[in-house]
Amino acid sequence: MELNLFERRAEFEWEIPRRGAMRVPAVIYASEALIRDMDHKVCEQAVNVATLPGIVKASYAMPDAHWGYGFPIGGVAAFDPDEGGVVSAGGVGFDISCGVRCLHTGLKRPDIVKVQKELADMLYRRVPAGVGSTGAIHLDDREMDQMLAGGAQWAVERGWGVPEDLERIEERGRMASARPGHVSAQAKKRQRDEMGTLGSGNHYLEVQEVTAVFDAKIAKTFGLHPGDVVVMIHCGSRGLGHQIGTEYLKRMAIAAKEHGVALPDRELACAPIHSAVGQDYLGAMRAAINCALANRQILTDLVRKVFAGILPQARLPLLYDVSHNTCKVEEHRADGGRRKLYVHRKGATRAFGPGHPDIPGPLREAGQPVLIGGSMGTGSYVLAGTKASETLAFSSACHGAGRAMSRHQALRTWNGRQVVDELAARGILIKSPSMRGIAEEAPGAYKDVSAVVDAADAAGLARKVARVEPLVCVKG
Amino acid sequence: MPPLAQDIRSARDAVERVLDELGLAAFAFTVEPKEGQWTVHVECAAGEGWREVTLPVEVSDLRASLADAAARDRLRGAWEPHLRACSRGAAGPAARWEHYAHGADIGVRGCGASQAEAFEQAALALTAVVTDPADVAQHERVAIECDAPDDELLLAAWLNELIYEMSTRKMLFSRFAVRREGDQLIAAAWGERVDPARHHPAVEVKGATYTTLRVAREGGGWVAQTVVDV
Repeated sequence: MELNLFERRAEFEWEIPRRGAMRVPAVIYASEALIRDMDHKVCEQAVNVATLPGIVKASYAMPDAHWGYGFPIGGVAAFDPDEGGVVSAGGVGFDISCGVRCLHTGLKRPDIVKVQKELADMLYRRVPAGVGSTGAIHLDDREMDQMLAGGAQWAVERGWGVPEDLERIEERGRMASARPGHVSAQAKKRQRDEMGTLGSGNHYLEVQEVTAVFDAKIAKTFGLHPGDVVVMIHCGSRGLGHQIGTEYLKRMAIAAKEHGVALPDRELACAPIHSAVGQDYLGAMRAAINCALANRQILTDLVRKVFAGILPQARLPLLYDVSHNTCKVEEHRADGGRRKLYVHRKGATRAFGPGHPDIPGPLREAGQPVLIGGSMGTGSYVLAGTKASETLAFSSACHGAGRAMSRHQALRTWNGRQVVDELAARGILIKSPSMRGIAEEAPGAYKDVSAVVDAADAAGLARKVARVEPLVCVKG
Repeated sequence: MPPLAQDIRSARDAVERVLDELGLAAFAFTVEPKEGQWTVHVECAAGEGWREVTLPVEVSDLRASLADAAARDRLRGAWEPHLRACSRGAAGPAARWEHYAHGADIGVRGCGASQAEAFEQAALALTAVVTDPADVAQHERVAIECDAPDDELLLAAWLNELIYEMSTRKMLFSRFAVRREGDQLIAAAWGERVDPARHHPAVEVKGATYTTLRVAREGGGWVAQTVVDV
């Protein structure tokens, strides 16, 4: 993008001042290099979001922002319900509560190398991944509703995990005020056979090694040391979330006129928080958050069972679980007072700073763990929320690398088999049902996650704690 | 004595071959091995919809047609009058589909002589996000209906219905017949169950968005496009 679109407020803070229909400014956090590379659509979409009713302070974009639908991916916006504020299905995304969780293993790299192939094969065999795959768990209507109301708590009660896991999940594993009754029969049908499946696209399960520690004190609090092996799982609410997103996008687009909401583009479809559609969506969306939390909990159980069979000495407690496609009610300081706001994070991670009461006790003084997934075969990062992030962007940080090229371009540039062989030569085993999928997800098709994380750290959104690199990757 | 699975399989092969030779544009069929008289139910694309036709057959004729060209000619001659309403050959000359780039996701665009044809082509583009449509057989027909207050929301609704059927039936589709009735779209999609070993499905489509959503007359034909989230 052209730099002259912005007023540079700080080295990593770029503002588009209020103009035209904008109610607030738009602010992008990024390095100069990232801003130059960013799609112009990010700016257009961030400005569009700034025109929505009830928006508070600013429309924000994170360093990994790219062209999304309605909101930019990497977008953060908070709305006040008592000032006509809205909730937007596009502002959450189709993959509601898509997120990342990280498990300790207590193992070191040499432990894995000895059994790497066996471990990769078993993870691939036990964790259903890819198009058309189904899980071993099939829910009837009653169980479906209990899952949608109970989230990871429901999963732990059914034996997929231990109560200690819940302490390390946002909302303690269960999103309150979920309304399974506002989830359509179609959405439930789409989920019936998909519990405990990974999905496809950029979703993955990786066994990783901690290769760098940037903040030794916080890393120690998080239980991360150089050479430690961890497991990261990236996936979301599967078919149920996708169907809810689809249905409410349509309802909101049709109802926008009724609500007198003028949309610069119908892709911004939204509804007042104080409206029937808005409330129905919030209830259904929270049920989808529970679905994602339950799904990642079941996947965790599958992973633990595979490790128990191959590396019985391993224990896999949860470090933390974050969601990066959500709308949550949070209290934030804005315009002189503390207000309850509806914070949309679409491709952005919540990043509460040290001392926040929602952070689990043992981690509280370090700040909330912020888990950033990289592209297949490159690095991922663990960060920690900062105090400053509250003022900068309602306690939010980036979520990943972001694509640098389209799937088509990637397919023309790489061959799946070649990518697998090249990564194998570097000691990384990739397992996937689709070579085409691997080519489309080739590491080179993504931006450099390090540049994104460095910018988030430099901007003050979150603090860099550790870098992890994959040893095994299961892709859908 | 009940018919052997082998007999039914060879009967299916025989029917498929004759229907192919008749040049039907899109079809699905079932063979019913009833005592004494077997029947073949054919569903074929016809104009902007589809037809259902029942054909009486002798199992001995079917068996003979597999090896004997003259027996095949006789069957073709007997069935042809029943299948006159079915569309023949490939889609019209204006029909084509393509993908276009979008940041993290992918745009699907269908073009055609009519709006219905553009919708059908957009559906092919949707399948092509997952796999090569040429690799998807048309064994099964799924009926689809949806509605929306305008053309553009209807395109998104159509693609989302297909995504729903792909997801819940674990199917892929490679042939489509679309018809418009006011705010309603009435359609059929022909396809088969996804087979990861054969289709190498690259990615699952989550939903059709309203980003770059457009349905319009263009250059004497129609274009229908939007971005799908993968």
